[in-house]
Amino acid sequence: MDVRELKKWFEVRKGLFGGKQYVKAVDGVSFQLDKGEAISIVGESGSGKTTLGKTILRLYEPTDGHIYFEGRDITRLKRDDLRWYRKETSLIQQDPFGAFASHFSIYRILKEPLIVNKVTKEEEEMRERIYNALRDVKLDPEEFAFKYPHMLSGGQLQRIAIARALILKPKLVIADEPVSMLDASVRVDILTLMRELQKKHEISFMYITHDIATTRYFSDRIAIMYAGHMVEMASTASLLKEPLHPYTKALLNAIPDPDPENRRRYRDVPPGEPPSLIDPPKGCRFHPRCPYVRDICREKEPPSIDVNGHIVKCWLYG
Amino acid sequence: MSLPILSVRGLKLYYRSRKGIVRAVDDVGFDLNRGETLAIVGESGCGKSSTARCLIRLLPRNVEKFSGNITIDGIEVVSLRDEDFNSKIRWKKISMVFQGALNALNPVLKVGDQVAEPLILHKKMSKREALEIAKKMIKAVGIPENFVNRYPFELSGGMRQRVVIAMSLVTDPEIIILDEPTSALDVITQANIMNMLKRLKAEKKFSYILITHDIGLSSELADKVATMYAGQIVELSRADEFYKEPLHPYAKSLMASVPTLREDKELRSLPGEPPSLIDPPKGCRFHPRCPYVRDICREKEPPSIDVNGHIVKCWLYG
Amino acid sequence: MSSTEFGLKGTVRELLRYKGAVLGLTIIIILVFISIYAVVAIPYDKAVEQWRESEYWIKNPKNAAPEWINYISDKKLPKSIYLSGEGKVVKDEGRSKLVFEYNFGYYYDDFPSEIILFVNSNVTKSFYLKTSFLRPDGDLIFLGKYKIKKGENRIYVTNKLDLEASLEKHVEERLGAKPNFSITIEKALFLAYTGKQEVLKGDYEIKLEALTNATSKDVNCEVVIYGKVHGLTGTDHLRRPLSIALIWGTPVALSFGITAATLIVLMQLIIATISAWFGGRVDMVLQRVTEVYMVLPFLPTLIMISLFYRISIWTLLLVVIALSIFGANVKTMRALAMQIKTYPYIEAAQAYGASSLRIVFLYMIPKMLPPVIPSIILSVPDFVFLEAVLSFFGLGDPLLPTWGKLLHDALENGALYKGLYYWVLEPSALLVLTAFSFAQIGLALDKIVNPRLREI
Repeated sequence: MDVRELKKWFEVRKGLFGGKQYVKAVDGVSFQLDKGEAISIVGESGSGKTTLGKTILRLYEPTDGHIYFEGRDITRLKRDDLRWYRKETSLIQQDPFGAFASHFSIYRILKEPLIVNKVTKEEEEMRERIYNALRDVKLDPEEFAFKYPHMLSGGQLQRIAIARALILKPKLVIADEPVSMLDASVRVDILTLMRELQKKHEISFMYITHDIATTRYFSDRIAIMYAGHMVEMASTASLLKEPLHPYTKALLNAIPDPDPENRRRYRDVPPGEPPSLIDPPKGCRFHPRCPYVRDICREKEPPSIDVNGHIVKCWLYG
Repeated sequence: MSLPILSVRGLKLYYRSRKGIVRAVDDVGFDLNRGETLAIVGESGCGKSSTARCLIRLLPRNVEKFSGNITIDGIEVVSLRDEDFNSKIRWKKISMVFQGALNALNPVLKVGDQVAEPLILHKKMSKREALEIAKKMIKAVGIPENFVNRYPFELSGGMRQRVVIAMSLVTDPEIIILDEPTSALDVITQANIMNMLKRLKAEKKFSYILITHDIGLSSELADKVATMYAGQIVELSRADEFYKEPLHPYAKSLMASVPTLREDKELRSLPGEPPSLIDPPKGCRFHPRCPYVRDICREKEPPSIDVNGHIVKCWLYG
Repeated sequence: MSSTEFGLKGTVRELLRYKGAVLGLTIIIILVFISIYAVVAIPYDKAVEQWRESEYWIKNPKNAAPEWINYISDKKLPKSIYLSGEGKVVKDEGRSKLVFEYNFGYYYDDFPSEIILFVNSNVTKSFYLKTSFLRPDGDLIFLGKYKIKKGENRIYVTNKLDLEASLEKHVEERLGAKPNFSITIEKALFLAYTGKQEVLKGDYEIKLEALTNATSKDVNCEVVIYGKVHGLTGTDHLRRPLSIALIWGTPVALSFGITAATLIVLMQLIIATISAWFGGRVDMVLQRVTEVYMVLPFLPTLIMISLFYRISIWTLLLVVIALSIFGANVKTMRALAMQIKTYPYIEAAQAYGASSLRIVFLYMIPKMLPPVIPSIILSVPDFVFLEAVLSFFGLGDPLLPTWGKLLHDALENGALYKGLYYWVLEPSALLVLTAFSFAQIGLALDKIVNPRLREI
């Protein structure tokens, strides 16, 4: 997949007579994803990471830029022409309790994508695929196929979400905060499961999260988003070891590991909060909070600079 | 050392629900010394928020049983009548910052007025006096003084949380309960607020009770850690030892399932789910999921055993 | 999402916890049984036919109260007395005549309402019938001599004016003074001569002498002394038992109410969901249409249509539905639909390519049904009353006997003025019971579906 200068702006009307304003949720993002590769998109709420994922899935219409999937430009395709794309991509959502139609059984929930995409007419074949999907996520089909969502726990429901995402054998899966609503003890399993399945079926995966600590267990690459921009992108190992962008550094500094020494020291983090996306700061969007800010940062938006395979959007490196 | 500022013994809170009696807090006990911070950690439904509500006496409507001993600054409060609790204890000796409180600010009152309100209500101050102190408090939590006349919608999430914290500190209580004080905020803001709480703790010697599911976050303030499971405290130890080596199997599993940023460790998951509080398992409540389970665990509830100053509720040590 | 906790069985179990709902359900089940009975025992055509043909009911008294009134009032009202039997051939002075002698005991506290003699004659030649009346106190009263033709003859004794005049004189004589109440034929015949309007209780005899040499096989007589009570429900001005209209009114009321409520609410639900889902221009158009509908006066429009066109009940149903589907409910349901539109599972469905129609009908509407069902049930009484109101004004189906029809007849015939309270009370009671039952069930369901209304 190849994303170029993708923009997604949402229109907001200010007051009764106000003119049009835009929430620039995604404001010029570019990156590529190879077949079978897993990338984590990390950012806080309001950074645009969720909007990025949904725009790539064409759940939103892009405002500008291009999305290429397997070489085809899918940016402006109409609904009907996107049918094939829906089969090749899928979504795992954050809320396991809202992700399913509560009046459908698990069997029916998993059957819906098959019916909608006219995968097969044979009931037997569908049953086989559904049962296999359940087994893939380590749920016993005999036990779970005919239960209803309200009977299952958060962890089990998220497994069903994974099963549903994989049942069409997609090439790209986007998981939007798939474990943030689950209890800590359950997260590991779900993440491991997704990683296993991702490797086994060679699926390209976009894992969207705000919890950077989980990315090490999941992806080969990390991209950091801030205020609608992708400010840094590198392999997981090197980004976590040697972050280049000041925001990434601040992010990593801010996260507490369970360490009794924490209470005896203060964390080195910049003040302030992420900016409004309606009226973002001129130049580099992080400049009001950046400890390394220079004049140029206030004036011109930095380009994406390649530093030994590490992409950084910062004047410190240009 | 002088007497603990807070002493809890045998605290029980049961309430009626459609399906039966929920034993939300089932025999909880701990001490808190002046200037000390106790973190109560556990997953959702373990009873930590309920325990906090017992301390500030915000009980649900359908209480079946509320018993035990809570001694705050020498005063036994369970036996106090509601009016006495309200006039002597609430917001004078102990106050609370609620989960999601940043969204519970009154939208039609200016921020300064809201922070002043507890002083007017609980300390019977005049409005002018209260506003003066409120202004100082707002500065102390890191908000610029001129924000006193702004409305909540004009403030960012992090600032609103600081306002709520200011409201809990303004009457100068001995103990402040913080229930997931930063769960809706981004990581950098969270670090800033933790820095602020650390500073206030050092300056004013507040005693905090920090309730959270985030073990890493708890280490930012905790001197002591209580781990709760199914309505009971299964481990209570000093922070210096707890984070390095928890003793209770549940605490161990919890620690092992949480991804850390700086340490490269292998994550282990915890099978099963937290038990029902209506019909908890016989014997030790953790036994169905415990990797070290023995016969006695299935039969008899373990006592709280002192292991070098750690209190552990586990047969492994008895 | 709590009703999904329950499922169908669970909801019924929950429902039964509310006493009002149990009562309501019981009443409705009884009404349903009555409806089934009505449709099976008295099919539509027969019911309409019977209702129109007054001849069919000739043997019932007019405007009779229900029999159970005698249990609650101290004055025992008379039931109708039917006297018949074979006549005896009697030879008198060489001529043979056919004599019918009927004895009966009369122990009621009130006078009969009418007396009619039914004579069926196979005799080609007309003959005269002498009628006489013997009271328990020995008074023998001559009721008249009537000409009997071949075929069916009816002698309305009550209407004979000269008989009435002569009986008035008779009573005056017996009392010694003019009575201070009016005299009718029935009163005169059964009056105890105490000066007050009291009945002479005892054994009476009516003797009919047919002056013909026909045999008993050729002439049949029946004397009907009409009472003032009849049956479980009483009768109306055309002698029709009210029970027919009450029983037949039940399936009409129930089916009209339930069909209208269900179809209207379902259509509103579909319109609201489509409006919410598609948004944009579709939403705008549908909402503007809804607003126009909301402004139009419903009942006056309905009355206007009924005035211009004589409509059957099924057409009425269609018109009511057509006038209601864009009602105010559409707005509230649209708000609910807009909320559901934001649920993650809808987005997930879009992600795997579900079409809009599929999402609206299979994903959104089933989710909206649980909160909508109580409002369906709660609106049933509205439509039951609507049908009754229209019939009451004479605007409904002119053929069907319904509860509203009864009220209409009662009004037209001055029921309250004449003290015929049962005529008004019986259909009203059924209307109220029906409304009450549905309301109880609807309110209980509302509490189940809407947890905030619950009282634990």
